[in-house]
Amino acid sequence: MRTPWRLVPRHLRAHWVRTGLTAAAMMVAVFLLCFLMSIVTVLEKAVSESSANRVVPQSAVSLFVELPLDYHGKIAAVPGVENVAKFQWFGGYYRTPEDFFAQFAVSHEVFFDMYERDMRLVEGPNGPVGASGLSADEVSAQVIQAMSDNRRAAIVGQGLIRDFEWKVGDLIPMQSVFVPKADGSAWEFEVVGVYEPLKANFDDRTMFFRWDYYEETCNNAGDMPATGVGTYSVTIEEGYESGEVAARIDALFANGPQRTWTPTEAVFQATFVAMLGNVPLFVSTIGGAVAFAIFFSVVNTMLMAARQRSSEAGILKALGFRNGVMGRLMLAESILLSLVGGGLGVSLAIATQEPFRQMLGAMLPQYAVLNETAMIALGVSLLIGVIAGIGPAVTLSRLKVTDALRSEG
Amino acid sequence: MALPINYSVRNISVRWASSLFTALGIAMTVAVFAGVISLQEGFEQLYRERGRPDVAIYLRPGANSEGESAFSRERANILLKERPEIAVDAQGHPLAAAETFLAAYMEQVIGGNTNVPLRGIQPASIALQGDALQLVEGRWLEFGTDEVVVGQPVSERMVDCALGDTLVLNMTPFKVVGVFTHAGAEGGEVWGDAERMLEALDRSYFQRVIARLKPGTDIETVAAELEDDARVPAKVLSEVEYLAAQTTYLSGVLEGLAMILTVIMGVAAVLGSMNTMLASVGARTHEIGVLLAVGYSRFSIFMAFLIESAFIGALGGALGVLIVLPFDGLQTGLMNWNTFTDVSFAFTITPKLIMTSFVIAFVLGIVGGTLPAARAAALKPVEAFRAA
Repeated sequence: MRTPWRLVPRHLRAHWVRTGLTAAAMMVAVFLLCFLMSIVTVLEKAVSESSANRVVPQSAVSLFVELPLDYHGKIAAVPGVENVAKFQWFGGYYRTPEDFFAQFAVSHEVFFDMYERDMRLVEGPNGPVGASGLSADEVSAQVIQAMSDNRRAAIVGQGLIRDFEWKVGDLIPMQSVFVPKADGSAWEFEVVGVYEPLKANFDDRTMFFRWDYYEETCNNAGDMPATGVGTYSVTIEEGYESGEVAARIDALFANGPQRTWTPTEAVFQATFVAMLGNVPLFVSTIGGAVAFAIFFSVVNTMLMAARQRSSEAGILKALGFRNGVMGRLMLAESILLSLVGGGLGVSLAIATQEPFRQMLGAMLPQYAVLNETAMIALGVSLLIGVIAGIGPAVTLSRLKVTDALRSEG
Repeated sequence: MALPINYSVRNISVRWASSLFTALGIAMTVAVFAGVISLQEGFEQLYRERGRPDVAIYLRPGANSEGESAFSRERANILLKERPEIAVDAQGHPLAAAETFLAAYMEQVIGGNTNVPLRGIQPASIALQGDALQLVEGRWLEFGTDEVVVGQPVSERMVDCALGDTLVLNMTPFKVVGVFTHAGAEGGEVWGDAERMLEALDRSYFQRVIARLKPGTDIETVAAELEDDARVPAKVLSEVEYLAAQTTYLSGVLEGLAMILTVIMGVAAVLGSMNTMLASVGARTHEIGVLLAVGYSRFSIFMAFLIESAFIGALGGALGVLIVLPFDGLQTGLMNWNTFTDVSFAFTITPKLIMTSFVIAFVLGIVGGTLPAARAAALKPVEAFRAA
C-alpha cells in the first residue's frame, strides 16, 4: 500500500498546541539565526563590493596620522594616476553626539566623477529626479553646479534625509570634536543634493562637503589649523595595474616625511573588518548555540510525537502497511514542522529588516537579509527536521506490531 | 496537603529525555548570555575600579578620549607649570605629565595588522601610575633617546616588540629596552619619550595632561574653572570618570547584544519548556484525577508542576554554566571603539554572573511551567479520572 502522506498534516493538526509551540520556538530561533548570519555576511560584502580601480594612499603609521597636503600634487604626477581626491574625517555631530553619522571633507571638483559608479544623485536644488521632467543627468549637473557655487554646500545620503527629516536647502549646524572652531560656534553646511548608494559598501548615511571650506575654516576660525589629509583617494587610469601604481606611490614617499601605505579600496575596507577582530567568530559561535537550541526543541517534540504514535504505528502495520510507513510519516512530519517554523523565521527576519537596519544605525548601515542567508537558514531548518525526525522514525519502523498495539502512549 | 517535592523530581527522571532536551534549550540560552556578559566583564575590569580620585586627566573640551583630544605644546606647558591644584614631589617638581597618544598599526605575530596605542610619556608619567605599573624585564627608557618600553601582551603578540628588538615608528628605529605590566588597559601599550615620539611621527600636539592633585582639591571646581578658560580651555576629569568613559561603546554593544539574545532565545526556550510540561500534564491526566480525588488541593497540584518546571530550569542553568565555565580566563582581544585600539582581556565569569545565569534559567523554567501547571490544576476530577 502507498504511504498515506495526508496523515502528516493531520498529525500536526491533531496536536496543534504542541505543533504551534514548536513552530513558534523554531520561528524565533531561525529569525535570530538569520539576524546573526546577516551581520557577518554584510561585513564581508563590504569588502567584496569595493572598487578595484581605486587605491587609498594613507599613512603607513596609523589611521590617525595625516598625510601632508603637498602629497596631492606629487601623487597626481605618478604615471597611471587618473584622479586624486582628498578625504578628511570630520568627526562632527548634529544635535547630540549620539546622532552619529560619518562626514567627510572631499575634493568636490573630482569627487563626483570618481564615485559615479558608487552613488547616484537623486535630488538637487530644483527637486528630485522625475519632478517637473528633471532627468537624472540634469539633477546631477545641478547638484555639481550648486556644489561649486556654494562654499558650505554638502550632499547627504538618503538615510540622513530619512532619519533627520532634512530637506534640500536646509542649513545644518554641526559641532566637530576633531576640528572645533576656536570660539566654540557650530560649523554650518547647506544641503544641496541627496545621493542614493549604488553599492552595498557605500553608506547611505554619510555627508560629503567641500575640502576648501574645511581647510579655510580650520585655518581662519579653527582651534587649530588644518595640518594634513586623512586619506587620498586615487583612481587608476585605464591600462595600468592598480598594484603597480600603488607601489609607485609608496616608493615616492619611502623616505618620508610620512611613509604611505596604498591599499586598494577592498584591502582598506578589509582592514576595518579585521579590526573587529574576533567579532565574526563570536557571532558565528552564538549562531551555532542558537541552532543547537532549536535542534533540541524539535527533537523533543518529535520524541513526544513518537511516543504517542506507537499504537497508531501498530494499527497501520496490522492493516497491512509496510514496515517503513510510520517511520516515513514521522520523518515527513518532522521536516514539515521544521520547514514551516524555519520559513516563518526567515519571513520574520526579512520583514523586520528595515527596523533592524535603523536600530543598528551607523554601526552596520548596510544590514540586510540577503537571499543566500535566507537559503542557508532554510537549509539549516531542513537539516534539523531530518536529524530530529530520524531517531523516532527508526524506532517506530522497528516496532513489532504486538508491542506497538500494547503501548498506550 | 502539599505534594512532596520528590513527586516533581521523580516525574523529571521518568520523562528524562524530554526533560533533558528542554533543559538543554534553556542551557543554550543561559550559556550565550553568560558568554557575552563574561566578555563584557573582562573588558570592564580593565578600566573599572582602577581609577584614582586624586588623579586628574585634562582633555580638550568636547573630547571623551585621548584620540579626540589635542593640546598645543604651549597650552600643555601652561597646564603643567601653572595649575595650582597639581601636587609637587619632594624636589618641588609638579607631579604632572603631558602625554601623546596614537593608535598605530602594528603587525601581529599571528599575522594581520591591528591598532596598538603608542604613548609618548614624560618622566612623571611612570611615577603617576603608582603600583599598578611594574617593570618585569629590562629597564625603563632613557628620556631623550629613541627607546621604548612595551606592555607584556604587546611584547608577546606583536612583531618587533620583544626585549632587544628594534621597532620602527614611521622612519625612526626605536629600541625595546623594557617590558612592563599594568593592571589596566595601559598594559597593552608602547611607551616612549613624548618628545621623541612627536619628532618620529611628525606630529606637534600632545593629547592629554595627567596629574596628581593636592589633597583636598575639589575636581568639580577645577573643571568649572578651566571649562571656559581663555588661555587653555580644558575638560578636567578624575581618573575614575575618565576610565569609565572609555568603555561606553563596546560595553553598551555587548550588554545590548546579551539582552537581545537572551530575550529572543529565552522566548524559544520558554515555548520549548511549555511543550514539555504540557506533555507531562497530558500524560498524567489520569493520575491528576486520582490526586484530586484523594484530596490534594488544586494549589498543591499547580505547585507540583511548577516545581517540576523550575527544576528543569535549574538543571538548564547548571548545564549552561558548565558550558561556559571552561571559557573563564581564556584570553581574547577586541577593538575598544572609544580608543580605537585593540585591547586584550580574558572572559571573566564572576560568582554574580553565575547567580544571574541561574536566576534567568530558573525564571525561564517557571514562566514555561505556569500555563501547563494551571491547566493541570484546573482539571475536573471526574473527567481526569476518565482519561486513559
